[in-house]
Amino acid sequence: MAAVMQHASAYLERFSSSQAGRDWEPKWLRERRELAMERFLRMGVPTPRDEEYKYTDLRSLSDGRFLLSPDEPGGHARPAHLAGQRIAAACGDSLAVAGPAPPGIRLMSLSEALVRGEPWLEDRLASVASFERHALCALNTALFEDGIVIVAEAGADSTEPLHLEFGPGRVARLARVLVIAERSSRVTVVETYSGLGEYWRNAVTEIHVSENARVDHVRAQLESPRSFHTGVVQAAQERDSRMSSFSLSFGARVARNDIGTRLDGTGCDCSLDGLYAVRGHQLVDHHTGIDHAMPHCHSHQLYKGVLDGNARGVFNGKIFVRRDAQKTDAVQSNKNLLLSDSAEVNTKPQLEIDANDVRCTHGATIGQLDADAAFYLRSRGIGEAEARKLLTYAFATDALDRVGVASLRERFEALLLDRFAPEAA
Amino acid sequence: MYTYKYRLVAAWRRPGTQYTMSTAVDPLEGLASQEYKYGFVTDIEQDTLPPGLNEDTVRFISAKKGEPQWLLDWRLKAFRYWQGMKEPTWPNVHYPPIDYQAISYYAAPKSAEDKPKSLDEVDPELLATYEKLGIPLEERAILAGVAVDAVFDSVSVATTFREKLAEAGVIFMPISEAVQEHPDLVRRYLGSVVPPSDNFFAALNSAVFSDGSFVFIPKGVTCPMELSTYFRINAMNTGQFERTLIVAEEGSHVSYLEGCTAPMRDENQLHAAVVELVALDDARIKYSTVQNWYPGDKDGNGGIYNFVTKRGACRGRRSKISWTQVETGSAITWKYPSCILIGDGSTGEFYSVAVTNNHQQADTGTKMIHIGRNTSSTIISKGISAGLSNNSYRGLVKIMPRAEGARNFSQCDSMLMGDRCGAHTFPYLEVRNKSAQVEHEATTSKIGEDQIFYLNQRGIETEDAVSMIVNGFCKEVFRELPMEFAVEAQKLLSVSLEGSVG
Repeated sequence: MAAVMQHASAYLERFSSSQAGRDWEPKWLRERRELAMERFLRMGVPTPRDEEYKYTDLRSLSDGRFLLSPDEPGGHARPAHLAGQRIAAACGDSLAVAGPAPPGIRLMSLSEALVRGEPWLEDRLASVASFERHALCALNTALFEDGIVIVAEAGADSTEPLHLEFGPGRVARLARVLVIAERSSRVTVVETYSGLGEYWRNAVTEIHVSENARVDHVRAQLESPRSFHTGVVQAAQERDSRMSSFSLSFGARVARNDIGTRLDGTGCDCSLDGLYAVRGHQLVDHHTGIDHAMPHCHSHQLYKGVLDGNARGVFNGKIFVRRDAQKTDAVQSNKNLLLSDSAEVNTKPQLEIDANDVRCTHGATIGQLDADAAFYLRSRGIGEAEARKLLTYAFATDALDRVGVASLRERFEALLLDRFAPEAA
Repeated sequence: MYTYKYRLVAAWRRPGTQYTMSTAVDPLEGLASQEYKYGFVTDIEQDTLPPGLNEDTVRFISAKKGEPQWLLDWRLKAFRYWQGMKEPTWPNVHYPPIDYQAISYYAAPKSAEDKPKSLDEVDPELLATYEKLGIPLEERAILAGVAVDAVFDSVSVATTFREKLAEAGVIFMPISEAVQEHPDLVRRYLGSVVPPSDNFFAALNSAVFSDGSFVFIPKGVTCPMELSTYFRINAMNTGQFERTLIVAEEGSHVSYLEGCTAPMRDENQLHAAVVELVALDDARIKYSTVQNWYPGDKDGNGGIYNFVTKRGACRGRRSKISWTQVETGSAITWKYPSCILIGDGSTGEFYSVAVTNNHQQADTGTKMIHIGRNTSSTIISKGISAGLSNNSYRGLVKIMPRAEGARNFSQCDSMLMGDRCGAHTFPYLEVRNKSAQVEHEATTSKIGEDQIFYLNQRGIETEDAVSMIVNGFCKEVFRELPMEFAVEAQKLLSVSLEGSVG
C-alpha cells in the first residue's frame, strides 16, 4: 500500500492521460473507470499481508513500471497450432479480428461496440467482474484501452471454438474480454496468453451466461518465464445455464488467476478445472470462487498441479452456499504432485455454508510419485527418467480430460509431455 | 495403560437432573426452550481487584501470590507486549468490542489466603457449590481415585491424592504453588511453547494469569491415575486466565482431563487461557477437554468468550501429543490446540467435536507443524451447527523442508441442523517437502429425513434418532475420550442439541 502511494501520482498521470483520449466513451464507462481508479489507489497492489495474497508476493509490481514503461519492441510470439479458426488477435497496438464470425456469433472489438452504443454493454461491462474489492481488476477497469466482445445470439449453437490470442503489445497488456451468451445459445471461447521478455499482463474476462445458455471457456497461460500474469475470469449465470472453465497455467514467473462464477439462478451447472505445471522459480496461484446464491445448482472443481524445481503452487478454492441455496451439490478437489525437494504447495480449500440441505465436499492431496509404480515401470525395462515422465503425465492427464475441445486437448497434452521431458533430453 | 474405573468429574451433571433422551414434548417444536441447567451463583466474599488493567494490576497479582522477581519481570514484559498488540480480527466470529479496562483481573475466595489442608478446611459454601454441580468431592477422594485440582475462580482450593502422585514422583499442583516449590522447572518451561508474544490473548494471559495447573511427570513414569482439573467461572465480571503447563519427561505417560461449566450471566465473560504441553523422548500426553460453559441464552445474550491458546511441543523423538475436545459451550469459541512436531518420529493428534446452537459461534481447529523427520499427524474434526449458530473449522498443516517422510491425514466433516446456521472450513495446507503425504477431506451434510424415517419406523423416537445419528457422526472422536468421559460427552451432545431438529 505504502509502495503504491509512493507511485500514486504516476498511476494517476497515466489514468488522466488515458481518460483525456477517451472523451468519446459513454459517460457511464468514464464514471466506472474513475471509481475503479479510486478503488485501486485505495487498495493498492496487494501484499502478502492481505489474506488473499498470503503466498503470492506482487509487491514488485507496485511501482507500476510495467504499466508506465514503453513497450518492448518486436515480439509477436504466437503459440502455434492451437485450435480454433476464428482468431481475434491482440498482438500489437490494435485489435485484429480475423475472419467472419460463425452464424449467430458476433465478434467485435470493445471500442467498436462502444462506438455503436450497444445497449447491453452498460449492464455487463465492468459489472460482472466487481472491482470493489479486487485491486487488480480495478486497475484493469480503469486503464484498459480496448478489448474483445463476443456475443452469442439467442439460440446460436456454435461448438467451433473462438480463439483469442493475446501476445505482447500495449492493448494486450490490459486484456479485456466480454462474453455474452444470450438465451439458449452456446459458445466456446479459448484465450491464449503468450509473450516475450519481462512484462506484466493484467487480464480481465467477464462472462454473462443467460438462461439455458452454455459457455465453455478455456484459458491457456503460456507467458514468458520472466513475466507476471494476473488474470480474472468472472462469470454470472442465469437459471439453467451451464459454464465450464479450464485454466492451463504453464508460463510466467508469477501467475495469479482469480476464477469465479456466481450462480444467480436455479438449476445452474458449472465446472472450474485447471492444470498447472511449473518449475524453476515459478509461482502459480489459482483462487477460485463459486457463489451458490440460488438453490438446485451443481458445481464441480478439479485442479491439479505439478511442481518441480523451486516452484510454488498456491490454490485457494472457495465455495459459498448462501442461505436458502438448498439442494446445492458442490464438489472440489485439488491434487498436487511435488517432484522436487524444494518445491512448495500451499492449498486452502474453503467451504462457507449457510444452508443445510446441501452436499459439499472438498479434498486436497499433496504427494510425490509413487515409488512402487516407478519400480514397476523400471522392472518392465522403462528407464527411471522415462518412468517419472510417464507417471507425471498420468497424474496430470485426467485434468486435461476436462477440456471439451478435442484438438485443444491434444495440443495441451503435447505441451504437457514437453514440459516433463527429461532435463537432459 | 489407564484404567477407567474411576468416577470422573461430571461437570455437566447435576443430581436430580435426568438426561433420559425421550421427552414427552413434541421433539420438532417444543424443545428449544431448554434452559442452561447450571446457571446459579454462589455468593462468596471475594478478594477482588477493581476493574482495570495497568502495570500495577500485574504487580498486584504477582505480589498477592508472593511470586519471585523473575516471574514478575516475565509478566511485565508480557504486559508490554500486549500493550503493543491488536486484538485479532481474522476469526470468523463477531462480538462487540471488549473493554479490557472494564474487567477485574483478580478474584480469589478469601479462604484461599490460608490454603486448606483437607476438605474440612474448605469453605463449606464452596463445597456446597460443588455439590450443586454434582461433584462429590469427598466421595471422589475415597471412591473415584481421581486427583482433582479444582480451580474455583482463580485460586485452587482443593487438591486430592497428591500423596499418591508424589509417591510416583508426579508433580500435580496449582501453578502458583509450583512457582514456589519447583521454581526451576516452572522457569525452564513456562512460556517455552507459547511465548508471551505469541498472540494478543496469550500475552494478556501471560501478564495476568491467576492460576492453573502444573504437571510434571518424571522420566519413565506412567502417571498412576487420570489427572483432572475442573474450572468454573464464578465471580461477576472476572475474566479467568488460567495457565496450564504439563511436562512429560522421557518415556513418561499422562492423561489429563479438563471439564467446565459456568453459571448463568447476562454480561459476556472473557476467558483467555493458555495451555502448554512439553513431551520429551518417547513421552505421551493425552489432553482431553469437555467444554460446556454457558453459551448465552437462546437470543444470544450473555455467554462466555472463550479465547484460548493451547499448544503442545513434541520435542523428543517418538513423542506423542493427542488433543481431544468436545466443545459444546461458550458464546464464542476461538481455539486451536496445536502440535509442534520437532522430534523425529513424533506424532500429533487432534480429535474434535464442536457443537453450536442458537447464537453460538465457534472458530476452532488445529495446527500441525511438522519439523522433524517421519512425523505424522491426524486431524478429525466434526462440526455440528444448529439454530442460528456459526461453526468454523480452521486448520493448518505445515510440512517444513526438512520434515522428510511427514504424513498427515485430515478429515473435517460438518453437519447442519436447520437452515439458518452456517458451517465453514478454512484448512491451510503448506507443504515444502516432496516426500510428504498430505490428505485433506471435508464433507458437509445434514441428517437425512430418510435416516430419521428409518429409525422412526423401527420404533425410535425422532429425538432419540437424532441423538443416535449425531453420536454416530462423532464416534471417531468419542472413542478417543477416556471411557466415562465419552459416555458423558454423548449425553452432553444430546442436551446441547435438544430442540434443534425440525
